[in-house]
Amino acid sequence: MEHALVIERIVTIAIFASVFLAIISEKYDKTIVAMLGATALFIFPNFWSGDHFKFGILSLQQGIGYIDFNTILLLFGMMVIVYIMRCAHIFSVTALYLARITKGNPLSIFLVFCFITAIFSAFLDNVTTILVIVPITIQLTRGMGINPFFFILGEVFLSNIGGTATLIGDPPNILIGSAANFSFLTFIEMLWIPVTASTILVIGYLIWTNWKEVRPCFDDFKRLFTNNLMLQQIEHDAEQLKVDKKLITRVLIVFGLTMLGFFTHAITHIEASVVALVGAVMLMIMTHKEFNIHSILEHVEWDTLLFFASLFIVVGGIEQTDILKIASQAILSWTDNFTILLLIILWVSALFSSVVNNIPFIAVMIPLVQDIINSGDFVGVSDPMLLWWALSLGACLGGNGTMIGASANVVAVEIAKRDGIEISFVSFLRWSFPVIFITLAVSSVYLIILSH
Amino acid sequence: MTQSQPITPLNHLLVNIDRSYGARALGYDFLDALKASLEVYQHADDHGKIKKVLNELTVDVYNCRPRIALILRYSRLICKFVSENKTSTGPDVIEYIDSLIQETQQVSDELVKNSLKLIRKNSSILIHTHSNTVNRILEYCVDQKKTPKIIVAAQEEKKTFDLIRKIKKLGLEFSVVPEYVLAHIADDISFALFGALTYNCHDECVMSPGSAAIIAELHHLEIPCYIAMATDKFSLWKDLKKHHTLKRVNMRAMKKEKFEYEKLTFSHDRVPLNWIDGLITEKGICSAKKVRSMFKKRMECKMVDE
Repeated sequence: MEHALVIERIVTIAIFASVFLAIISEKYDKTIVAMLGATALFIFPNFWSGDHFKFGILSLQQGIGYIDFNTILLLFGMMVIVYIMRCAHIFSVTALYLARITKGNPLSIFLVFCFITAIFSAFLDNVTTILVIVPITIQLTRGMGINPFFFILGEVFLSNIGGTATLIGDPPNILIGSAANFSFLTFIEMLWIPVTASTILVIGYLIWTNWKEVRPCFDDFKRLFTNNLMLQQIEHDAEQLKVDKKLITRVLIVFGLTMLGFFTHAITHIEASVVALVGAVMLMIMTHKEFNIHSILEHVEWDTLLFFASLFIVVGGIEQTDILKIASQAILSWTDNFTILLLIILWVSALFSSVVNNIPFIAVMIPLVQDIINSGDFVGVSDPMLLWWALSLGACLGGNGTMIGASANVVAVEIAKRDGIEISFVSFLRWSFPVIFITLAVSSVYLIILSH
Repeated sequence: MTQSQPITPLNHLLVNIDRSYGARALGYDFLDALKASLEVYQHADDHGKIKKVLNELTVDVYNCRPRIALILRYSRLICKFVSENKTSTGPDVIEYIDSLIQETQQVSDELVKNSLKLIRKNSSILIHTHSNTVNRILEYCVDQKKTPKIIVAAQEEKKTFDLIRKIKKLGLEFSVVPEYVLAHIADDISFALFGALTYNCHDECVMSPGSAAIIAELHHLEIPCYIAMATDKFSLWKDLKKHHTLKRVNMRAMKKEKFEYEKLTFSHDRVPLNWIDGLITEKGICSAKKVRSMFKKRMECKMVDE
């Protein structure tokens, strides 16, 4: 029987490793790879299981049991909400309004757009934020004769930093929140300090190193005039959006109620996924005249949802075979210093996130961290739950590491390329390296202080 | 004026706004942007500096290609004001810009009022591309309880849809017909109404692409064609080079047959003034002869100013 368990572990590790490598190689679509891994766990001939031959390391019921529907439904709900908000031009109108209040001052444009990117990313998905903000930034800066390169990079960095602040800001947080049963408010309470400090320091660093580009131009009439003329054009563009104010009001009310639902979890105890789902359904009902349900559902990223579901099953297979318990014991045997463990998790997850798709990594790290916390080895420390925050900070901020560290980075680079702005891997790295160092240093200090 | 290299971002912006939203909108944008810039300019109290930067701006505007008459006129007028008022500072220039805006609005109102003389009961007006001036005329017709029927000569889908949306919003009765079969409905058209970018020294009206073919056809069919354009849009300079029309080659693909071909587009059409039955201006509905004389007079005034 023990022999059977060893073979089962080897097969499960092989399946997981193949899925992991195939995902990071990016040769095949990650959803197909994850689905292949999940189905392999269901149909792998199991000769060693004992009395009789059977198919599969996991039964279908066991596999479904491993799917975290809280995460899936939260993602689904937010995808619907974000799509309807985008169709109602809420993001574009906000960005255009903000462009107007900058009065053509490059420094104001940089500050306003970076902050709004961070705020949008905290409450919506990063890719949507980048899709809305970057084209307007390119239009604004180009029109003013400023190089958009550094503005785009600033927005990408701030989108990943802002996304770290909330439960719904970045997929790793959704996974962590669901696994650790953290509320929306808990995320903000625990992460606002490192996120705010990182935001200020990164913006400060970027301004300091690019002062020539962003310095206020109140003494340069030609530049002032061009900037203001550009704003006039943007106002015309805003008029062309055919904004329906009543629709925007309805959508914003439901969005506000959804946010209220997230914030009041401690009182209502309603799961974040249920809140998002209710918000999505309410929006679909309230906007059914403007937006066809089929069109909304067509724009839900089903491949992402299937990817998550399949990955949960693959990681479930690993969990079933106790491999993670062995791994967590191994980690604990390396160090008995909680602070060092926190820093290892922070920096290693950041390193992984900056070079590979961080979802499989987080999916496998979650049960590992759970095992470490449950092991009781750190009973004496101030709060073993800090391990979750180290994981969250590392995974989300790690997205800034390289050009391929997060989907938002890839999308921004693509938009820039379409407009003739080349952002190479190396040029991105030149700016991202100090940024990731600053943010991880801030997080390290924060975690060290909390752990003592 | 000294020649210098065109300032690309400004040139790019001016042309973009002109093409997307029309010369009149660009005119207002130009004045608004000037006001906004003067409000925050650090040396707004220094007459010398104000004069210098405004002169430089005029040179930049002059060097833009294609040159935009309305903008050039505004910059010249503002420079003239600053030169004549030796102590003028930012707030004075802003005040003058306000008076220019007001004057432009008055000119525009006069033009719209003059157009009403053409519109009779049951008039059917053919329109082609979007023009802010034509749109204002139609709005005024509705205000004055004159509700002509509109025939839209359909061209690119997006532009036609935009036009239809605007007419629908005004509550006017309309029909749509492809621009290449106008001969079939010749009897139903009372007259055609167009907007234009400018009138130049080559005795041509610069208009939206596609206008020349329609006007030529209507001219042949003896259907009256009118252009609504204020005289401040006249291009008051001698230009030796006749064609400034920008040509663009776009690649289009036949997806099923898997091959690509070149499709040419042009920024403007040039229509000889002789093909037009009248130019609706703030001074009334003018014949070609009167337009030429007005142009000459304005040109002379400008030369004296310079």
